[in-house]
Amino acid sequence: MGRPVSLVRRSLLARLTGRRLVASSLGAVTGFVFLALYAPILLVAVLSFFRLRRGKILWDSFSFQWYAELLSNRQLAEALTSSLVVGFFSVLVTLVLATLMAFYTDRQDTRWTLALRFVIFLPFLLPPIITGLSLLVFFKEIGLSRGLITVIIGHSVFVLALVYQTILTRLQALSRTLVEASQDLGATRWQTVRFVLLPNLRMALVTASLLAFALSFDETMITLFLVGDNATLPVRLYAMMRVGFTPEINALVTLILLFSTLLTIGIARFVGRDAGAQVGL
Amino acid sequence: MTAETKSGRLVLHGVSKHYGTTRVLDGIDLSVESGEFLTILGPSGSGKTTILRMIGGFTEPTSGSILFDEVDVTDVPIHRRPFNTVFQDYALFPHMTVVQNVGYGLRVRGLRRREIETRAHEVLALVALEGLEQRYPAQLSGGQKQRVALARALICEPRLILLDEPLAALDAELRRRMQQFLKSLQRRVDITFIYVTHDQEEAIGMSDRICVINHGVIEQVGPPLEVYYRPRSGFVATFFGDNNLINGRVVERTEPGIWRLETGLGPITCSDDLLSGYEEGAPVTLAVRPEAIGLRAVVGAGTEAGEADNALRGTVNRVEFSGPISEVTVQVGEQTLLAKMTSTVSALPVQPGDAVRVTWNSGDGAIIAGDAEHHYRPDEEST
Repeated sequence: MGRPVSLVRRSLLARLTGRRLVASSLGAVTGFVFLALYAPILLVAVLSFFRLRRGKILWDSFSFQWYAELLSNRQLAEALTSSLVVGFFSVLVTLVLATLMAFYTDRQDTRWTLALRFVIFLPFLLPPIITGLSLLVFFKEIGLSRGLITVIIGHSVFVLALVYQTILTRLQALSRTLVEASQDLGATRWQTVRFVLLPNLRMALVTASLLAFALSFDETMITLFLVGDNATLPVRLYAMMRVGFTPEINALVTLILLFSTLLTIGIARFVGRDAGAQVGL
Repeated sequence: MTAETKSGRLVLHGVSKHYGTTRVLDGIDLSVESGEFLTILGPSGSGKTTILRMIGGFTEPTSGSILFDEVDVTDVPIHRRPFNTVFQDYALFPHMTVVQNVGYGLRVRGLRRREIETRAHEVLALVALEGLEQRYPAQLSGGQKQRVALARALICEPRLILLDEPLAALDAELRRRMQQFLKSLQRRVDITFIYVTHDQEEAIGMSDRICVINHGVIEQVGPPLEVYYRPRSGFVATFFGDNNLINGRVVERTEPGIWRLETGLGPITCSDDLLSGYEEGAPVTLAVRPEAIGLRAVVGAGTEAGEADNALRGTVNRVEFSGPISEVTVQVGEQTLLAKMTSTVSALPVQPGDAVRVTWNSGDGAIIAGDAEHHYRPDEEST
């Protein structure tokens, strides 16, 4: 009678260890993926606080030296400012344009609105090099010299589709009768937009702005064609590749990383809260 | 705040709506009196919601005009019409609290916040929603949302309230209570209500008058009793519950007040008040309600004295017991007639195969011009 029992036990044990083996190897793979994804970023963060000598980190050299040098690096500071200015105005321009276009094309399938939608999406789908080149030729023809304004126009054209679609999707999810109810209660068109539509589009507008800003911030290809003397950050970094990076780049990347992380946490909280308020809509 | 200043007379004059070649509404003439509770009743796709939307200003009529207190409002934009709508899906603003929703109509008119809140509290008390001021629509039950939508319309002191199947989303019990509530509310505020529904019982229970509409055309307008007992078309006769339609021809006046009809079932007598305005030889249809029909077992061969005015011989086809009422179908000649009888505890009144006498009085039923048919079948409504 003893043998069958021990057999059962052994197979049970084998099954358990088998399961544990699967679990632990899965864990290892997961860990490796995360390491591969984040190690380079972590390395940059580490390097922003320490000095290197012959490829080795000097652990006793912890300081904010690179951050201080970053502040005094006028070229990088100017590039960062350019990027922020371009991002801000591109978002502003696209938000206004995309909102108007979304209102105009919502639930309208005429030839005009279809054509408009095509025009909105084309630059987003075209290779950036084509968009950039076309814009360059266009600006040259109309005599607009290259500078931040041309970059802002280029970025606006590029991110418009994304902002437009985000707003339109939310708009289409709203019940048509909300607008009718508002008018029925005596509101003018403008009052309906201000009191009913915009508050319900709030989340879409915030999401779209952040996405548009992120896209604008690292857009390189179109920018290369349109930029004048004031290089944006990606263009400046691209140019620096030829002469080699200086260590304050690490400080810059770390700061951007910190900023993005905080932003992401902020969005996640905002989106979560807003979604909670909309339940049962 | 007298009735005269609050409501007015609404007149639809030859209103039509065409989408391409599809005629949704065709030549609607309708007048709604001040302070009236009028129900527009019809199956889905009959065009009843389109009428309401045209009164509210959401849909433009293809032709015809809408007058309010003798003033043409056909081209007045939605926000300038002195009417308010209660939408089928309530259309409460999800980002506003109950009190903000209710106060919206005053807010867009530029009233001060203090006054808006005072008036909102008054109206919320009227619909028995005190204490829920700070809730959001998502936190309300269906019945509560319904009352917020009503309060939001009432606060604007409209001269007309349009209700688009407002009870459709509620369960049966709540619907009954809301019907009573709506009716008593309408009496208290003394505002004209135009109410759209596909539910016959709802229409009969609440309305001063019912406007029955089918395929974009008005079939009949009248008080509930009249529409129920004196239908003027086959559709109306069969839309409100079951009805027996008997086609025939006016023959002659046999005695004062009594006419004889020749029908497929043999001669039938019919009283004067049903037949006024018809000439001899005119084709007509008699509609007799199943509950007006009596059944008696045939004893012997002769006609018994003291029977009802009409007595036809028939054979019982089928007996369906459904609680207090039993439905009995009887074969009379080539037609089957439906009778509804009160069930007794001990036994059903008749059995299939029984020879019976089908009786009704000459004053029961309604006369419809021409050869009317059963236009309405409940299963058509899903289309």
